[in-house]
Amino acid sequence: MSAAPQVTLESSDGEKFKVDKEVAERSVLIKNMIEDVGESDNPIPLPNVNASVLKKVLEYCEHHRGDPLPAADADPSNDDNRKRATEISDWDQKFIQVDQEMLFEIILAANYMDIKPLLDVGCKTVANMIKGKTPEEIRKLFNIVNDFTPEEEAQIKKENEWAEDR
Amino acid sequence: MDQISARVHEIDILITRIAGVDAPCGEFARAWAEAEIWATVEEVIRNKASRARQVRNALLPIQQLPTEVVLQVLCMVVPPFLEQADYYMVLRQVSGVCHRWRQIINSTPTLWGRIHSWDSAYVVKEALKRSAHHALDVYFDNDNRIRPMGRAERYNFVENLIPHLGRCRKLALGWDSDPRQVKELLGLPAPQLEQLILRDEIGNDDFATVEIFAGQAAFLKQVEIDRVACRWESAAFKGLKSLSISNVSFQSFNQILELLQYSPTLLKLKLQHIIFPDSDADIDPMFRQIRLPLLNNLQIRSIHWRRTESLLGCIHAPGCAHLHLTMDDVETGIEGSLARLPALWPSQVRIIILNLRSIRVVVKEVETALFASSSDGQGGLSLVLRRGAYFERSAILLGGINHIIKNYLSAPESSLQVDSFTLHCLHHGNILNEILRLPTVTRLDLGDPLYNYEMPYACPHEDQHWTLPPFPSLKLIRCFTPREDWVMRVIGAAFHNPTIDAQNRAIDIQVHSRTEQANEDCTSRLAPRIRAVIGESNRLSFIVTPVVDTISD
Repeated sequence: MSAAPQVTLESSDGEKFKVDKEVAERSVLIKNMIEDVGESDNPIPLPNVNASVLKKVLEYCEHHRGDPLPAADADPSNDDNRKRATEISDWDQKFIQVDQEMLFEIILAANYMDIKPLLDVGCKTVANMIKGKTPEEIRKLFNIVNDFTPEEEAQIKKENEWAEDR
Repeated sequence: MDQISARVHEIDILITRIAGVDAPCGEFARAWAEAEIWATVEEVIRNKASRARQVRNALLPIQQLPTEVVLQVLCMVVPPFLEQADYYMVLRQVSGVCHRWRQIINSTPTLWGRIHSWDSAYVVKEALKRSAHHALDVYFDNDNRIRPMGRAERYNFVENLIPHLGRCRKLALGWDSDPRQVKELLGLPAPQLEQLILRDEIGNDDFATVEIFAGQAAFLKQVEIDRVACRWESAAFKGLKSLSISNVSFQSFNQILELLQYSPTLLKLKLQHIIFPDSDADIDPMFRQIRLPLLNNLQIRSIHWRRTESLLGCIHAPGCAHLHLTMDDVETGIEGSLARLPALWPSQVRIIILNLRSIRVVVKEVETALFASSSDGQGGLSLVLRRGAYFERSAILLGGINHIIKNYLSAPESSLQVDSFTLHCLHHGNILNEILRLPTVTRLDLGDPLYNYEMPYACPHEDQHWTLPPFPSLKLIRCFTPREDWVMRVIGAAFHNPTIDAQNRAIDIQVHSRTEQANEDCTSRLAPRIRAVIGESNRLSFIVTPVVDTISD
């Protein structure tokens, strides 16, 4: 039996990862690159993803190899698409239990490498962190400071009053 | 810095001019001018400070996410369409976090396409304006729990909506009186509409004269109607993918068959509490075999059992994977009815039953409900027990389900989903006998993973002796109930069962909460207590599982 075809990926800090082509092709970016360039022994450079993040991303791709690929260009404001995205499996929940910095790095990598299911898992995790919190609590959670201009503050106050005036 | 220098220079000039002022009331004028100057200085500083804070925020990890990703997150934060929640309050909360998020929200028309009747006139006006030409999802319900509407308000809401009907994507209308405006709205073209929900709380009005959307709703695929007698032959009701009709009287049995015949693309069909005056009339031969090749989910609830049988006999749906029947009027002989089920779909019956992924059978929905469904393509089975106050009936029904499982389904494993009250059923002798005949129970769910819903049932006293039936192959207990006392009781019962070797059990315990905060609270309170019961060798996890929104079940 012949071995599964493999490709080599190179992170921004020069580390190389040899993985099954099927695993690497969970990334639409890599799939397209392979299709465009053809079979090659040269490593595929990923200049926006460092080794620690790429390792984590590949762990996800490895676990989900063989899963059906999602439909492209789904409108996130449509509830049906949103619903699909809100369902996170137990494994994914554990996978994404990382510190904030790594979480956002994974989301950025998923977005760059075009791995929609991983992007969904990351976004849903951030959404769950935000849900039910006041603006002040959200700022504290992500270390954001209130950066509104005085005009914006006044406008927000006015809008809130109008919205409450039923 | 150049801007600051320029403003400071400007202020210096003003101060010099004030110093030179020597007019009547000079002191007052000087004080006034000075206050003006300091207000200007303060404004400059505040603007500069907020700009500096924007730069600082821009360096944060979360702000590295591109706009489209932030938008995706925001879409997951706001409540779904049919949830009676204050969508724009959530949007305002999030837009009040920082300058960037506010800008993203305010400049994204698709986030403003939600129109609710409980929003203030200002919010509705802003939403209609900011959504520009994008799709609208409209929820009008004057009987909602958030804010009841007056007659004039209802009138204004619908009037404001009429010019925008052409860009409506979803329309959910509920009313309890005076549907004149709703009728007017429903008579106008809705060329972009995909989903329609109509609900008349009283059900007194007849919409049979209204040609729905003047026949112009080519994209309408999902229709849900409750207590509204419509003009069923309307072109809008043809070519649907999902149809749900509840609490409606049809003029004849053939009329509903004709309606189904015009939607051969149906994926999901739910018919509930439907009355036919001609219960014994013959079926028109042209409707004897309605082909629904794509139908995946068929629910027939609380319809006269003879008509249920007739419907099953007319519908040809070889790919149907989920069948849900409710048999209100089958008082006795339930087992026999269930056993006859395979014979109800004459030509393709065996194929249909073998392809079924789930069977849900409800007897007297209000009083007792028992569901059995295979969980996935691997042939697993899950059984839900709810409100099992009528033990004898439940036991009989379980017998029927066991009959189907034994004869038509291959189910090596099963799981049980129970609520806090129906755990009592498990001690009823006949129910227990049937449960022990089920395929091996490997998972026990306390509460419903999909709904955050717990009826206020009377619970047994704490000191009452209480155990679980012996499930020797139990591998996983998932707790979805907010009732922590019941979580502890179920886990305690599973691990202190005298009939099994508790020491050698390997059961994963999952405690699910609906929010991060609830999860943190739950973890701090329950983790030590559960650990004391299950020891260190069994896995324990606390998981955030938000309620999944569903349009209809």
